[in-house]
Amino acid sequence: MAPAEEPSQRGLERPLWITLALWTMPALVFLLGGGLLFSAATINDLSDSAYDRSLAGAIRAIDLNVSTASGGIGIELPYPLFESFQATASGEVYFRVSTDDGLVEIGDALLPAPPMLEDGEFTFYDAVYLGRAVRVGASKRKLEEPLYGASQAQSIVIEVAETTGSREAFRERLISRAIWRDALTVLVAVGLLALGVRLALHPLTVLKQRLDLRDPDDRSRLDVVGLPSEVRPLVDAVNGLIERYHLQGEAQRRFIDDASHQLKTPLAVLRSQIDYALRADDPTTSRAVLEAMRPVTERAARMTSQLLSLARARNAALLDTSASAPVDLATLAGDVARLHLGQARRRGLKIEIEAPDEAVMGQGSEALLFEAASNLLDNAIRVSPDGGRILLKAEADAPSSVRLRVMDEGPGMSEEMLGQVGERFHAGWETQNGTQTSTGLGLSIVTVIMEAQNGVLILANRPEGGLVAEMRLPAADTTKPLNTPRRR
Amino acid sequence: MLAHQWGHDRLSQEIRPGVLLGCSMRILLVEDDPDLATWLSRSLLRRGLIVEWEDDGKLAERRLKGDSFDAVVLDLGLPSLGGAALLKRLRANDDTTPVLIVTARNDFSERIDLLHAGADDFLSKPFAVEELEARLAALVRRSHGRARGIYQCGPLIFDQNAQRFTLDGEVLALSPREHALLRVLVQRVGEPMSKQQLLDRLVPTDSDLQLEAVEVIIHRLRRKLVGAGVQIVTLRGLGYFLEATDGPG
Repeated sequence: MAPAEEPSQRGLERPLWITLALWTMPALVFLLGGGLLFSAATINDLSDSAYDRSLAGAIRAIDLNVSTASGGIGIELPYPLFESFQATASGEVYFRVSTDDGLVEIGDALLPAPPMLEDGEFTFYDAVYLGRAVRVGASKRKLEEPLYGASQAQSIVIEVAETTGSREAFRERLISRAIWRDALTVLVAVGLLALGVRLALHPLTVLKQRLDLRDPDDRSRLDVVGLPSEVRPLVDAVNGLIERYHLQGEAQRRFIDDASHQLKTPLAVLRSQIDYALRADDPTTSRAVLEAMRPVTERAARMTSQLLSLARARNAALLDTSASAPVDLATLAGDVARLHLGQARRRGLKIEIEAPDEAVMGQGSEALLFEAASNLLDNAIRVSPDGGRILLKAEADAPSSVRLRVMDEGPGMSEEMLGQVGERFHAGWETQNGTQTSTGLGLSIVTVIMEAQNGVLILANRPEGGLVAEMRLPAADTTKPLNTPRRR
Repeated sequence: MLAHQWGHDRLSQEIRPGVLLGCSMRILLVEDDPDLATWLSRSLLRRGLIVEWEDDGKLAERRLKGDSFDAVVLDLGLPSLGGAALLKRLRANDDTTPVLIVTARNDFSERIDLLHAGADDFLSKPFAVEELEARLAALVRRSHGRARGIYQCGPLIFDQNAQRFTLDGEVLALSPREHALLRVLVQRVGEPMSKQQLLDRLVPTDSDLQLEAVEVIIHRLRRKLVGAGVQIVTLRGLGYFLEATDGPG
């Protein structure tokens, strides 16, 4: 992948464990927070019920000490119990005993009155007494016999209140302990995550060391044994890359082999011609040798420039995919024809172009396609008989494909040659007198270019004689507005 | 746009400068390889050209400021100042000396850039000396001819000042439309022009003309040029152009 792409990609460069932590921690914290709220409610309920039970105990103790023997109400407060109660509550304890007719009121008269109670009912509630929060327990029961000779028996209401300080402190202690526990859980989880990621990625570190130590010439595949299954696709991709580099290196090596053969041969021929001419005493022989040297030089020159242009086309195919744009094959055919017109007219050849009125838009690199078409036309000119006719025909041959055909009236190609096109250089095609040079190399160039443009070169003999070379290309995306007026 | 250069020169290389201009061409060769420069100079000298040699871009620029040449043969890879840069400076100084670029590379886009920069023709290394000489002759003839308002194709000569065509020295009698059309063709020898392009160039003088009329005019012109060593060639899809028929090939 190219470095420094969109900014959004940059976030991926942070360590994996942080990425994982960023994904998992919010959820963990949310879950633990919810749990905490829930346990806080539970703690409240538990502490209330515990503390309320002691309030209820105090109420019962008072109740047991209520006497009505005097015809009124008398209470003997259970002081030892109260003291111990006060001590455990570590706050103030208040009480009030009253009758529901309001005639009797004993104890802390200012304690807020309880809500309406049924006889025999216990209740607990929070209230404020003398500006302090208190918890109040209250109970009501029917007396056995009426007081003061009243016609009906009254009910007696007993309230006991305690300040809530110790109860709050107890709760806070419990909750803070729960918070600490949860925070520790989160920390341990992050630590485990980091450790787990490090352990899980250890095979990658080993892989990196293996790659670092690898010999640059080592073309063997990387071993996937011991690697986590998630990493295997990556290693497979790297292996694929190594494979492609290997193939490319192989092609490069073959190219250099072929090229050096192709280039050294004419040099060797020239060398031997020079040696021969130097030994010749007769000026006519020298002159004949010099004349024979000329086509050899021309052949070498043409070969060199074609080898270079093949190398360039390969490079462009590997490196430059950005130049692809809509190209009008009809305009291209016109430009190529004009470029070669002088060369063709010197041999009395007619170059004609056939194209529909609308543009024939293919997708590709204009410079490379020009080079390809130029090679095909150059070949056609070379093989055409004097005064022959070459037709360049551009057309859309399917909704998604366009083609440019170069048709000549030359000798065509044998089936064997047609099958070999684009494979390697075909030195066998060269004739030694230099009249029909390096057709094979020119076609190799076109093949390489067409492959790089997602196109194809198709060669066939025409039934009426001659060769038709077809460059077929994907059609340009015509949904975009095109602004390429045809030059005519 | 490319074709102006190639077509024109390749088609009209049959005439030797000495014959046409009556004097030797004086060429500045800017080439940093001493072997190539030496042998090239010798060959051209033998053919009657006067060749001066510079192997450095800056020195060549100084030379061109102080002296005048019929044409420059310019190599692209030069020390101190590259051929392309030298060409740009030359054209920026309003120097219109024809420049023939000699290049080892055969790069289409580079050629377009150089044409825009004012190059007149190209030759790829290695090349035949005959080819170089013919191209130089064509360049010089064109530049001298244009300076004097003379256009030529084979035996057909158009004198712009006199507004007159001559064929083998005889004045050619033409109707105004024939004259206008032939003038367009002779000013762009070897460059195919479509019917529409021809019509576009005729319309200012004759706005009623239809596309079919171009064919009629061409037909009449052909009859007047028949057997004269110059012809109007038609190529389907490319157009009409003027071509000398009695040259080599």
